[in-house]
Amino acid sequence: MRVLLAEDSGVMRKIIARALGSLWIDEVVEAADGVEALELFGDGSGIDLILTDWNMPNMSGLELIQKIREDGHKIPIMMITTESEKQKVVQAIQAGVNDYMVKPFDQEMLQMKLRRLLPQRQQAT
Amino acid sequence: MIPTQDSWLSALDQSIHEVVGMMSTAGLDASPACPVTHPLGGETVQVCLSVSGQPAHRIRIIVSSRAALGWTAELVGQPQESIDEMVLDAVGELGNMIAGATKSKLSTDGVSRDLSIPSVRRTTCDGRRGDSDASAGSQLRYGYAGGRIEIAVEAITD
Repeated sequence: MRVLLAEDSGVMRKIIARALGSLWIDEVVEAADGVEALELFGDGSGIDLILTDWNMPNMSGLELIQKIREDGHKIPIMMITTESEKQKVVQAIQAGVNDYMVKPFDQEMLQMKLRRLLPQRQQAT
Repeated sequence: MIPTQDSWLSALDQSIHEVVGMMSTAGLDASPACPVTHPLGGETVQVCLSVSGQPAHRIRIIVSSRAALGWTAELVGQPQESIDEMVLDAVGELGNMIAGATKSKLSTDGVSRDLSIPSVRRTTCDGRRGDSDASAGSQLRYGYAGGRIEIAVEAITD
């Protein structure tokens, strides 16, 4: 199980990776922006879940999701962001996000959401 | 309805309490006693973000080195000894979360606002009242982890 984590804050990547550490994840592939995330995603064959921030330099998380969905990938995607206004959440859902988590977040809540997303993929494969 | 300066300050105050309460075991010290017990002097970290709108607003958060080190230690789970890239990053994320939560609280007016990516830099001040950049606008002050956090917000008129 490989997770692609797109987040421009190294500290936040560390916190999220820590939450992932207690789950059945083999590897967390880290990207500092949407462009790097898209490159690491490649054809999508080696990634089982994407976690992405919204506000990042070069390419936002929203643009990243749009590009991945435009290419027809059905991989589960969760957005983890400070954007919590209703209009923003709707925008993310329309772009194709499967789940949404607002910062600041509780580690247990994040793990609960991740558990809910990951088995979907396990059952599908 | 356009949020007033008081609305901004109230939203910022609620937001910093939520963010620190959720991410840190160290609590915030309410403002009245702070100028005496937690002087903002020496090296500090300043994070600046802008929020779009009519008018747009600029939020500045100035964190004393002690508070910045304490906050970073809470996030990464290990003690920090000096202001390095990780500390700047952690303080930037503090600003990001506070500004994001504030923006959400003000969204009851139905306006969707955009938040800039935080700009973070080291600053120095001698701790005298009114010396910090944050004193230019309406201001909130807190004690945190034996240090000090100040938040200022101002409308961008140019």
